[in-house]
Amino acid sequence: MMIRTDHTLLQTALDAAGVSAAEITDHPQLGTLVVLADSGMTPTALAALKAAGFEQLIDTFGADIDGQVQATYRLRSLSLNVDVTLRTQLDYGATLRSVTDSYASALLAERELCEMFGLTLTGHPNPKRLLTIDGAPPFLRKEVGLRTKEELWQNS
Amino acid sequence: MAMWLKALLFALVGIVVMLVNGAFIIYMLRKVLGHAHLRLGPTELGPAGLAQLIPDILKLLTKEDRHPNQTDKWLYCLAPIIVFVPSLTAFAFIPYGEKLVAANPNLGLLMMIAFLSVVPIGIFAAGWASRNKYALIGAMRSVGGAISYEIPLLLAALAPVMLSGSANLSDIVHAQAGGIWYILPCLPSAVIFFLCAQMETNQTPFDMAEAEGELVAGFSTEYSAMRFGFMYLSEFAGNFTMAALIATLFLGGWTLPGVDPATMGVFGPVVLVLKTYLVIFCFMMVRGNFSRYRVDQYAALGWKKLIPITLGWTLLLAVILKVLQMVGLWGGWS
Amino acid sequence: MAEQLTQDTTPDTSLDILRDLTADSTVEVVSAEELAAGYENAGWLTPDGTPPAGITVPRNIRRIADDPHQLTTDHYLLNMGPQHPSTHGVLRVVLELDGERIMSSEAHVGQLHRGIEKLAETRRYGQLGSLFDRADYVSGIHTELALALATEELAEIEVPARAQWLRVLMGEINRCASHYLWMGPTGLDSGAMGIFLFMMYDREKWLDILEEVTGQRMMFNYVRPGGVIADITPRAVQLIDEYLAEADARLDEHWDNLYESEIFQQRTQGIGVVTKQDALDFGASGFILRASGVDWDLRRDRPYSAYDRFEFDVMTRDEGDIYARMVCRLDEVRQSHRIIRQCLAGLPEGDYMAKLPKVLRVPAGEACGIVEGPRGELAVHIYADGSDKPLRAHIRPPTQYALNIADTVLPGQLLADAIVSLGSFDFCFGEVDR
Repeated sequence: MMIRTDHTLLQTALDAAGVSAAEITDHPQLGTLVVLADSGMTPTALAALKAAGFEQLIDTFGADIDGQVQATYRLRSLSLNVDVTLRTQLDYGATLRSVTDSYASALLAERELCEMFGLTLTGHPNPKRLLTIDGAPPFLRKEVGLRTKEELWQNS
Repeated sequence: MAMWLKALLFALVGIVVMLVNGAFIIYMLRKVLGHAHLRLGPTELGPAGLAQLIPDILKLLTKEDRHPNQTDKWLYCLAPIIVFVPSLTAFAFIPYGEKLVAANPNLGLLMMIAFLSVVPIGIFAAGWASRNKYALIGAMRSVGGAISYEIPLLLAALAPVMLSGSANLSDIVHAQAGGIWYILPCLPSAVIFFLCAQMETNQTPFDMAEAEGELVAGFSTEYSAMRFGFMYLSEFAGNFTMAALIATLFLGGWTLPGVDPATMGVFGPVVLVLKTYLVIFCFMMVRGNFSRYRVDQYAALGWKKLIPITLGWTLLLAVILKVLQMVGLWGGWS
Repeated sequence: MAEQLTQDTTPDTSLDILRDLTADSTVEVVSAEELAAGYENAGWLTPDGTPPAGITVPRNIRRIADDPHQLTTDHYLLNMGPQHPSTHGVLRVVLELDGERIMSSEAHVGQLHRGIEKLAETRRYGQLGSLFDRADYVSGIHTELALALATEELAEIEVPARAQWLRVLMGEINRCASHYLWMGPTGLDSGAMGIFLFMMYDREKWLDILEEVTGQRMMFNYVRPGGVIADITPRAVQLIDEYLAEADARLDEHWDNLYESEIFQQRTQGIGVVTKQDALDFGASGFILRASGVDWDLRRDRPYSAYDRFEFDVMTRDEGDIYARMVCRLDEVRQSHRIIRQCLAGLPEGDYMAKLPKVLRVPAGEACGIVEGPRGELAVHIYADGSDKPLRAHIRPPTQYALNIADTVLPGQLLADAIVSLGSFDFCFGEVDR
C-alpha cells in the first residue's frame, strides 16, 4: 500500500551525511524501509533525510521486539507524496538521541517512547516523563505484565 | 409618619424588591436564553417551571459555606457585603411614582452612580482576599473596567441632565412627561449609556471580571453558598438598577406619553418595572448572542472610542441647545 | 510578535519565580537541596537522571523575553487545568504570565492515560475496535477504520464494495459530528453561548443517524476487519435525507451567527497563528496544515476505502490563524455533505462483510493503516506475530502532535486568547494520552 521511494536518492543523502551501515529495503506493507545499524546515528540520518526533502516527521514510536527496543520514525515528503520509514534497534536501558533539532514534531513522542520502553533521552529540551508518574515501570516492555485490580489491591 | 418609620419601611421594601427581582431575573434569564438558544428553560416544577426557583434558592442557602485556607479572612467575609450594600442602596434613588421615592436628593443621579461605583471595590476586595490567581485577575480586570467605563457612563448621563436642567431623577422624569422621551433627542448618549451599563453589570460582551471561559468564575471563584449568593444577588440588583436608570433617564421613567403624571397613581411603579424589564430583556439578548471582548480590546473601546465620542457629542449637544435657546426655539434652563 | 520570540537565555528558574511570588505568603519555598532531591525522583529521562543544564521552567522551546521598552511586572505561574472549564478535557497548562501576557507555556498531559496500547496486546483483532474507540472517543469510526485497514492489509482480506462505501458514509457523518463538537465550543470559548447550542442541534441530528445504524452514539465498534458490522437501514436513509435538506442552510446560518460577528472576528483573526513552516516542523496534520496553506488531504492524496470514487474539494486557507481553522472546518463540513450525498446516490449492492473465520489469525508482519481523521492524520501501526493477538499496536494521535504547536503558539498572547488558541487545535485527550 505504501508508496515506495527512490533508493538511490536516499542512499546518496545518507552517504553524504556520513551515515554508514544503513540498509534500504522495500517492505511489502510499509514501503521503503531504512534500517540503521547504529542507533547513535539517528539524528544525523534524519537531518540528512530532511535536507533530502522529507519535510515532516509523521510518527515516532517504539516496539519491544525480540529483546530489543525498535524505534521507528515515519517521514513524509508532501511535495513528492512519498513516505520513508527509518528504524533502529536499541538495547533496554540504552540512550536515545533526540531528533528534535531537525524535527520538532518528536518533542512529545520521544518522551513517550523513552518513558514507555525505559530508555534515557539526550539532547531533548525537556526530557521528562510524559504520561505516567515517577516510579511507574516501562509499560510497553514485554516483561511488564498486566495486573488485575485485585492484584493491585493486594500489593497495596 | 415618623421619619425613622418611613426610612425603615423603604428599606424593607427595597430589600423585598431586590430579593423578588433576583428570583425573577434568574427565571427570566433561563427562559429568555432558553428561547434564544433553542434549549429548554425550566418546565417541570410548577406552572411553566416557576417553582424551580424554590429549590434554586434553597440550594444556595443550604450549601456548605467553605472557607479556603490562606484567604484574608476579614476581607473575604466583608467583600460580599461591600458588593451587596451599595447595590441595595442604589435602589433608594429610583423614583417609582410621584411620591414613591425613598431618597430624592438634588444630585440623585450622581449619588446613584456613586453608590454603584463602590461595587468594583467590593469585587476587587473579593478577588484580592481569595488568594486565587484567577480571582485576582478577575478583580484587576474589574477595576480596570470601572476606570475605563465610568467616565463615558457619566458623560452619557449628562445629556438628560442638560435637557432637563436638573440632576434630580424625579425632575428628569417630569421633564420628559411634559415633552418627549430623551432617547429621541440624545440617542447616541442612550446607546453609550446602554453599553456602559452592560459593562457596569458584567454582561457578556464585557463580562471581564467573571469571564467564565477564561477565569473559571473570576472574582467569585473561591466563594460558595450564601456568600456567592450575595454576589449573585447584587449582580442582578445591579442589572435592575442600571435598567431602571436607563428607563428613568431615557424612557420617561414611571410616566407614559400623553398621560398626565398626576393621574398615573399606582400604575407608575408598574410602568417603570415594565420598562426596566424591557431593558433587561435587551441586556439578555445581547448576552446570549455575542462573543466576549478581549481585555485589551475592551479597554481600548472604552478609552479610544467611547470617551472621545461622548465628549464630542455632549459638547455638540450643549452647543445646539445654546443656539436653539438663543434663537428662541427651546425654553429650557430658564 | 515574531521578532520577540527568542531562544530562552534568562537564568531564572521556577524556584526563583516561586520565591518571588511567595515572599510574603505562607507557602513553603523548597530549598535548593530539597529541589535537587526532588529532581532525582522527577522522572528525568536523561542519562544520569539530572535535569539538563541551562533549562528554565517551563522548559518549552519558545519563550518571550521581557521587552525593555515596555512596562513589565514580576512573572508568576498560573496552573490552568485539568479542572479548568475551558481546557477541553484534562489538559494542564502551566503558564508563566506577566500580567495577562503569556511569556511561556508548558503543557502537561497524562491524566487520561489508560494504557490502551498495552491492553491492545491482550485483545484479539476482533476485539480491538471496542478498545480503540476509547482512544479518540469523538471520532471512533476513523480509529476503527485505520485499524481495519492495517489488519486487512496483513491478512489480505478483500472488503466488499458496499462495505467500502458504508465506511466512507459513516466516516463522513462522524466527521461532521466531530467538527460540530469543535466549532461550537470554540465559539463558547470566545464567549458566544448561543452558537454552541445551535451546533449541538446539528451534532444531535448526526448522532441520531449514527445511533440508528451502529446502535451507539459514541463507542461505535462499527467498522471491523473485513467490512462493517451492520447495513444501513431505510430509516437511517430517511433521516439523512431529511437532515441534508436543511444542512447547508444551517451552515449558512452558523456563518451569519458566529463567523460574521465582528467581536468574534476580532477575537480570532490574527490570533494563534501557525505558520506553514511551524505546521510542517511540528508534525501538524489535517485541518491545522490546511489552514496554514498546505494543500494536503489523505482522502485525496492517499485514497483509502472508496475515496478515489468521490468528488470533493480540499479546502485550504493561507492565514493559519484561529479564524482560518474555523472557516476551514466549516467548509469541510460542506464537503462532507457533498460526499454523503454521493454516497447515498451510488451505494453499491452486495454484502457488507467479507467471509471471515470466527477467530482471525493474522500472518506475521507489520502494517500501517492511515486515514484522514477529523483531527488530522490518524494511523494505526500493527506488529503481528501470526497469533490472534497483535504483538504491538500503536495509534498515531494527531492531536499529540498538535500539542507541540500549542506550546509554541501561546507565548506572546493574552490569557483570554490562550483559551481560544488552545481550543482551536481540537485536542482530544483520550487520544493524546491513550
